[in-house]
Amino acid sequence: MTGSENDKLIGELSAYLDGELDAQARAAVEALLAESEPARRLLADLRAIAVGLRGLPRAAAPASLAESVIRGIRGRGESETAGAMRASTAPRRPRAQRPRRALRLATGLLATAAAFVIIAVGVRFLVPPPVQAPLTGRMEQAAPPRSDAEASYREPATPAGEPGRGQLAAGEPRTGVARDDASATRARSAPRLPSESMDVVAAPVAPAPAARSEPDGAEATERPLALRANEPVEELTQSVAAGRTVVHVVVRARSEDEYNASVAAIAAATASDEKTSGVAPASPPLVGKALEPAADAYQRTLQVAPPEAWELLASLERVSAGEMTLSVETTGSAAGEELNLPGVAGRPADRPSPDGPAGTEKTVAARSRGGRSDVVGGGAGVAQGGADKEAAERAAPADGMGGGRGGGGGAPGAPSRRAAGADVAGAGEAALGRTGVRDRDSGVPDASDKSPAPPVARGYAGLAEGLRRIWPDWIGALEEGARAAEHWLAARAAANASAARAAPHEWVLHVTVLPPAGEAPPPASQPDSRR
Amino acid sequence: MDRSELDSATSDERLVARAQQGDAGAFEQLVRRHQDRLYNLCLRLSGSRTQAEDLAQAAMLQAFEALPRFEARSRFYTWLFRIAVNLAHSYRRRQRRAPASLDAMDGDGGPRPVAESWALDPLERIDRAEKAERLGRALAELDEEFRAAVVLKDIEELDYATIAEILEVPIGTVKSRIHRGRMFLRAALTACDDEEDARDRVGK
Repeated sequence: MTGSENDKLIGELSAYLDGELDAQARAAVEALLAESEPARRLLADLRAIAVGLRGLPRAAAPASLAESVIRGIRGRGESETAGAMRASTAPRRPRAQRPRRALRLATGLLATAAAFVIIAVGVRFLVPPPVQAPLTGRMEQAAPPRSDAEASYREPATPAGEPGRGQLAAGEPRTGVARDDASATRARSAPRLPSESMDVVAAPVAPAPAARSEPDGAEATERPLALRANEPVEELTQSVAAGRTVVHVVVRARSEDEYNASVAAIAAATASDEKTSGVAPASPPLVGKALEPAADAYQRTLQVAPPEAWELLASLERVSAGEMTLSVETTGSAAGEELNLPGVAGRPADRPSPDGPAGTEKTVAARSRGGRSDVVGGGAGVAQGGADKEAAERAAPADGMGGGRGGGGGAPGAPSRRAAGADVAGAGEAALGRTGVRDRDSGVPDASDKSPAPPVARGYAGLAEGLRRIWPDWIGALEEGARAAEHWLAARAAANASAARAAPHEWVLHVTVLPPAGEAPPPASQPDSRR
Repeated sequence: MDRSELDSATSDERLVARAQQGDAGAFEQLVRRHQDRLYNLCLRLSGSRTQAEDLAQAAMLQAFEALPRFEARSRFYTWLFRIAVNLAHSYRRRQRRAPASLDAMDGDGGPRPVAESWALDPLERIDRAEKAERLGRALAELDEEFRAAVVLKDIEELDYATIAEILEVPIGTVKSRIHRGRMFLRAALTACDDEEDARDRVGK
């Protein structure tokens, strides 16, 4: 018997021990055992280990387990079951026709990476220099002039005088700005405000609730909340997994094409996880729901199921590592209901969530520190980096993504820390009115920026780093896609040298926390209460 | 499959069918029936009681949500285990930068390895308890994919085909993972023995 045959048979010892070999293989192993003392010793060791493992004590499940599951099931009520039943009767594609999740994920990630780069690269050609403006006043005053392309964009219809969903009303004292959807986007190229909110938040973002009028005339309050690093991320993901939290991704786009591309990218990146659920989805994994009928084609809320939500929220662990600041804003809830999320301080707003079950809807806004780009849920955010074409070309890394080139965005605490890459905070931070953060992250250069690397280059570095941290296995493919996207953009930009604003293409992560089933709301706490 | 297993599987099928028709009580019975096994599996996979409870709860709720689409191509508990394993995998992936502390195994961690047989000599009892503890710790240090295979085989006592179904890998992969997992455990325990020997020698 040769050495390699011996090795192969040694490799079969466990299967032999477990009675999982066919007669021929078993005979071969027995022949080896008959002639080899080391093989017999190894078999004896393996047997001892197997016996030892079988003898390990088994713990009974805590009584609270079944109770909490049953409470969760009952809390979901019959309607969910009925809905699921309807889904189960829907026609399904044969398994063979379903695209492989890995393929879908790869495609999605590539598309997502391309989207990042399309935006990050595109703005360096397209974004006009920012207009300096006073630190107070309406954001619209600070927005750059609209290009022709922008002028042709149909704004989502919002009744006059009514702020868009998730936005603060005019005149709110702390934020001092009022926006509509478009102005929230435009505001990113507005001047930076003082950096009072640039560091990891350890205190409430806003001590006073902001009042706003709702379509139904009810007075609602918004209380931005701040989560300390190391605090609630795990609870948040567990809450998602336990079905207490629902995650929505809001997609806004300037055109139907952009919208469709975004949705396709998200759909691919978050396609329902057959591995996790063990079954294929009976319906498309993303449930599109028009947020505003008039803007149906351009703005939708996509509900993402828990497995995908886990993926989406996975990057939030960077908050735990102190790399990102996470802000949570409540925009609606059942009256007087306390957030059902351990570690999350604050009280939700006193109104039901308008497009979902009664619960606490929060906008999760994440932003980077030290030049790292925000990547939450693989979403591409608006990147408003770059100043002019020359600056952008100087910043352009020769090797596409740059792989960390471009200065890295400076160390934390540097005067200008911006990430021109992904920024999912979008309307979340707009709603928070954290314009200082927004503009800091927007990548718009300002006079105080003395760092040698232009913002776009720092954005590249941050983006690449962010992606590496989140998807180390995919980074090669992502960079490939990013390079391709950059080449395409370069060609496109050469053909169209006229400056325009970056695509108002943003993904906002909304987290809706459902009230605990069968439990009375806990007593109200102050917005700045902490664990 | 023996008679009781057959009865259990049949009964599971019946309960699943009822649950799929909207009978929440049937699903509750499934929960109560499988909670111990599921919890133990999660405990061994996560190494923490708290996480195990969360994982088991999440797996059950996810199973409940997905139940309408469960086609009973596999047994219910196999499917439930698959969900749990994948959840644990997702969890670990997120926790990779903060690996589970072995201390957690002592405090919040797995079942305390106390020998149950009080008929044994006290020294032998201690010896067994120590060995079980060492084995449990070595298991907790195993790579996730090997640990899952070993736990499903040696603790849950499932056959290779079922494990392959749960882990969604070929049987050959299961065979290899189990063997390599046990070999790692053997190496870890041997290293532990060597370390103790060395300590004893220094002590003397």
